[in-house]
Amino acid sequence: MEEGDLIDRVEAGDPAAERALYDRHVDRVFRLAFRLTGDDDLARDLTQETFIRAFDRIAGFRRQSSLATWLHAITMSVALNRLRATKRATARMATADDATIESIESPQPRASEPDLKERMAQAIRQLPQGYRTVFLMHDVEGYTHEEIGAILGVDSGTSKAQLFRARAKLRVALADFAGEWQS
Amino acid sequence: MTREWPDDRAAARAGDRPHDGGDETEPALEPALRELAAAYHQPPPVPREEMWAAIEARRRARPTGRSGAPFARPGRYRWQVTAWRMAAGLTILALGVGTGWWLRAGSASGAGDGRSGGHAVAVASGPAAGVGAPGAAGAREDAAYQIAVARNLTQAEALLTAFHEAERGRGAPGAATADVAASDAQLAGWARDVLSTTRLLLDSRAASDPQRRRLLEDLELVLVQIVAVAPDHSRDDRQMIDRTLDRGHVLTRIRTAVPAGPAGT
Repeated sequence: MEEGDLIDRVEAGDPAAERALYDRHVDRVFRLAFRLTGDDDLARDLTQETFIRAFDRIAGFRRQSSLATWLHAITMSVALNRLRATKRATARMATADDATIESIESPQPRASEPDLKERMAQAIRQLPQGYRTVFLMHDVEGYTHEEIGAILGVDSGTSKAQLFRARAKLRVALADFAGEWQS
Repeated sequence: MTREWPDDRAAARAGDRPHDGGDETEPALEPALRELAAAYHQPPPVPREEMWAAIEARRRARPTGRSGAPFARPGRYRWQVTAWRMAAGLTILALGVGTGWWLRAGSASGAGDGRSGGHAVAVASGPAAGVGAPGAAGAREDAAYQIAVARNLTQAEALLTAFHEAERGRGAPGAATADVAASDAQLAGWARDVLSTTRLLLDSRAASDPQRRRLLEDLELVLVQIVAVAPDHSRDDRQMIDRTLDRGHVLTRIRTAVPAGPAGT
């Protein structure tokens, strides 16, 4: 079924079309949500919220962009708002405990020397949220800068700049392992 | 032109900017690092059926309305965007002046009763609220956040109103294509500015109030749509954004929140 027909049917309230739309896009939406959060329950919740919002708002979908871009924009909006809320809650707890919080969704890394894989994960976690989002979308999930720009509501140039800085920060963070990853 | 996110601003302040806007002439991530990055938050198999069942259950529990009549309205002119922006600027200026007076008065008296948008603010009062008292600085900081929110909402209100007006101007007999394109470009640039500030506010203590946070989140979503629509858009796109705005009552909620700015302004 063509995307336009599918959207028409979803807009008309056809349950089979809703399921078809879900089947067509759920994998990528879930992957994106999981990459951003690293939490299975949260990723499931964000995916569900994305499709609930999408079905409610399908009449507002502008058909000049792809349905995938629109869906992923909803995913990002839902995910970033949830992460912000988590960050605020974590910061409040940290203030109460007089502790330092540098990461949004993950605990601080081990004090002992981690291996390269763990160091990479730690370095990604410590990227500013905007850098991390663009890096994960582009270098890990394979979105283009144009897609990222459309999804995040920024210029594609901003996406490129964020990626540049993210990569630079990662290289610096992993510099003492350079012998292992530079060839 | 490259627009900035909050992180860009932070990076710029820290002298962390790359050579320029960041093009793809810089080297890609090394294959070994890319492989390592791919292992970061590696997604498990997608629980399709479980999530679908949950979606159906949640929708049954929380039925939502659909659609709304599309509106097609006769036209106006592109200068309205500029006029709305100027009006917003004047409102903000007045708000700033009034707020300055209010804050100064609050500091001098050592007490205040700050209110905004129906959300109570923890402004210290009584003996502990004097200048230099522990509560006073926090109260002033809260007030500053409130002012920032009020300013942003004022801008957003003007932007969304201008968006409505621009929609009316579209399709009018006298509406020139260049005129329409220019107003779209203005709206897009303006929406990016407001979006950037909205995101900063969402990341700040300003969003600690749940009602205000929901409003800012809904506003963010609408702004993203406006930025995405311009400049290549169809009439239907804009009407659909209008409908989204109507459905979420975003403009109405902003108008409800803005007039109740800091007391005394």
